[in-house]
Amino acid sequence: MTKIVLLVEDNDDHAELVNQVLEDENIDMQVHWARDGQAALDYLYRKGKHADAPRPSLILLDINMPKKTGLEVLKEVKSDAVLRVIPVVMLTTSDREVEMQNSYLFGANSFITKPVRFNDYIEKIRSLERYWLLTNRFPNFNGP
Amino acid sequence: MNEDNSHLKQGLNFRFGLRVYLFCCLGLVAALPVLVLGIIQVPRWEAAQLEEVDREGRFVSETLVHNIGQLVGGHVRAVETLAGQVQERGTFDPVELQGMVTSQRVRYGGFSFMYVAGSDAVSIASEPPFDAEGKPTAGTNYTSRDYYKELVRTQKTAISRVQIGKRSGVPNVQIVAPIWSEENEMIGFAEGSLDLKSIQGMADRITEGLSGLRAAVLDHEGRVIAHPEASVREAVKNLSELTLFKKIEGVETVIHTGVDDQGVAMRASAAGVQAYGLDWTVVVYRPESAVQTQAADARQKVILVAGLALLAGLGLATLLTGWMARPIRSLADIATDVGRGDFSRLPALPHKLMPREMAALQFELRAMVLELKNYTDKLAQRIQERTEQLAEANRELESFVYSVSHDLKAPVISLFGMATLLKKKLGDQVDEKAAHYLQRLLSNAAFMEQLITDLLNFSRLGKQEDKIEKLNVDHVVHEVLDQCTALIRDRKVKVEVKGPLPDVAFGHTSLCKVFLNFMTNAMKFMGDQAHPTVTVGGREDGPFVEFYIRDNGIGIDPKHHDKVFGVFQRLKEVNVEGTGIGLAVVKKIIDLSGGKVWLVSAKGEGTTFYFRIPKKVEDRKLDTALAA
Repeated sequence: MTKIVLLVEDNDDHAELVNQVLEDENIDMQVHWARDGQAALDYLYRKGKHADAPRPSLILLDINMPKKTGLEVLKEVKSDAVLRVIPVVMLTTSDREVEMQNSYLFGANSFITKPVRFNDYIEKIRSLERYWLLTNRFPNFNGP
Repeated sequence: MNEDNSHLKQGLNFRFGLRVYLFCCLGLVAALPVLVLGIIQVPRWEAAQLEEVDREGRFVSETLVHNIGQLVGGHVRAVETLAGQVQERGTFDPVELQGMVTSQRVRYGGFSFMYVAGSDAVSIASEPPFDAEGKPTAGTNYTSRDYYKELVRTQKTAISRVQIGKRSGVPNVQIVAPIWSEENEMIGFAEGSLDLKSIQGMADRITEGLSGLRAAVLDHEGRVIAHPEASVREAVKNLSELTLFKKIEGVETVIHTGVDDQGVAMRASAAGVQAYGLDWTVVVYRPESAVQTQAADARQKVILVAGLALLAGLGLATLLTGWMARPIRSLADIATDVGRGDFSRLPALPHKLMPREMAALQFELRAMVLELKNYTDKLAQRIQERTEQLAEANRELESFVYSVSHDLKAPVISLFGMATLLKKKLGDQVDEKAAHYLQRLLSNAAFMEQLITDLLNFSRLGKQEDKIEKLNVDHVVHEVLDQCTALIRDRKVKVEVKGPLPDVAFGHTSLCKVFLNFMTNAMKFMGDQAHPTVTVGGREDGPFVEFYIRDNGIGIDPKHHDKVFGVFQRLKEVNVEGTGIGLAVVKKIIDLSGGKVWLVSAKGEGTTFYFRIPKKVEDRKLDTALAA
């Protein structure tokens, strides 16, 4: 079964790169792309057109975004009784110490700095899949 | 104004304190009058002492003269009384006379012998009535006696010259008083022999307890009646030959000097005993040496008193100098504190007994310290404010650098990703030129990423925790060399470490960065040097530890020296890899530690980079707010 990943990314190019990696590398993963924090929360809370949206198995969350920053989204997700179980991987250009600290403080499961070199990028996406989607196990969202 | 006066201050320790000067002055003031007084007073006191001695001698001699007069006078009256009694009774009955003589002699203890004689000068009654052999003493004819002749001649009470008792050997005088009939004819006389031994007793008593003082009494011929020496006394020596015992005419007491019978120099008061025509001389004398001793005692007393006065003066001077110097000392201490920037002690308000000038000084210094403290506090506050502003600006800048780097990084990621994808998509379809362009695109994107990373790291220097610890610099250098193995091998660089290098307290990561940047820099700029060599050395230099990294590479033209440590400053004429931030990193690390970095180089002559670090961590005048 194809796993669903919520990619929260305001940079179109970066989102496209991720998609391209998945496509090129034949990674079995369905990406739902939210362009900002608010859109991501709408999706997760199944608001409006997302009424029937499935729960993602992983959230890839950028930090610097319009409307709602990645950290705000993280805080809401991790304080929601249902959503908090979804692993959140911070994927950002920043390697600022304070952001890393805050991310983990608010319950991020992982923190990854976006690599510049494309090959490194591919490698990181692969390892994300390998661990969070194939190795790691989640509870069933639709009830036991 | 900003002279370094620490060596001048050290000189202060070799100066005498105010106390010493004040003590000398006050001590001199105290000592001078005492000394002058002492010098003037000693001879005066000596003279006074001599006068005192003479006055004492005069008093003793005159008293003795008076007492002798009393003694003789009393006994004269006793004899006259006896004569009067006989005359009144008008009888020469031996038994009655005997009673009168005996009672009179008993009443006056000074008589050794007493008798009453008739006109024929034959004794009728005498006391004691018997002599030593038991023969009766009455009935002795006295016509041959001088005193009888004198009595007959003057018809008045007479005193004989001093006689030496025939039996007793003791000097005595005979006192005779006439007995008259109603017809005014001398019908007899009464006689008493006055034993002069009691005069010796008088002389002894009067000189008793007066140290060295002795008294002698001599008769009209100069024979001894009383004398301190028993042998002289018993021999009844005639001492008229000695000037000390010369006869005194008249009643005035005379002071003179001379030797006594033992040849000892004496100072004497001599007076004549003129009563009843005795014509004796009383000499009261004491050895000159005793007088001298007394004068010496007097001198010693003066010196002692002067010494005590001097000590008291010096003691007072000590108290005074303490009193005067203490506030000045205290002010000097406070001034020193203030000079060091310590305002914790404030001069007290002057005491009301403090001298005006001192009080003014103390008051002014107090005002000055308060003013200075106020000023310093204000300055510190201003610095604090400025530092905070600066720190705020720094934080803003930091934040700015981060946002910029983030914003810059994002397009670089896109650029790199897209270029890679493009390259992949086109595959073999591109010609050589297009492939080259694509490759350049990727290289530049990579370089751009490196620039951003370096810039980020540079801006983070001094902000990251790097614990200061004592480092073995030899170890640090070898650690760095291990990191450069590839570079050393590729460029065939010979590395010389002139160990042992001095230890230094520093952050390990920072020092590694410093050496790594200097050494990779040296290895990179070797040009076409056939024997590239890098030398590392170090030494201790006073409060600093100094290191150098020398290469024999291309060297740097002095006109570029000031650019060497700038961010992204690179020599355009050489083509070497790197972003050009390495030496800027080094400079920032060393600057932050309060050290200094510089170079000696000329084009084509290699380069030597130097850096020095303060040994003491507290000397690293690093404004943490600025560093943050």
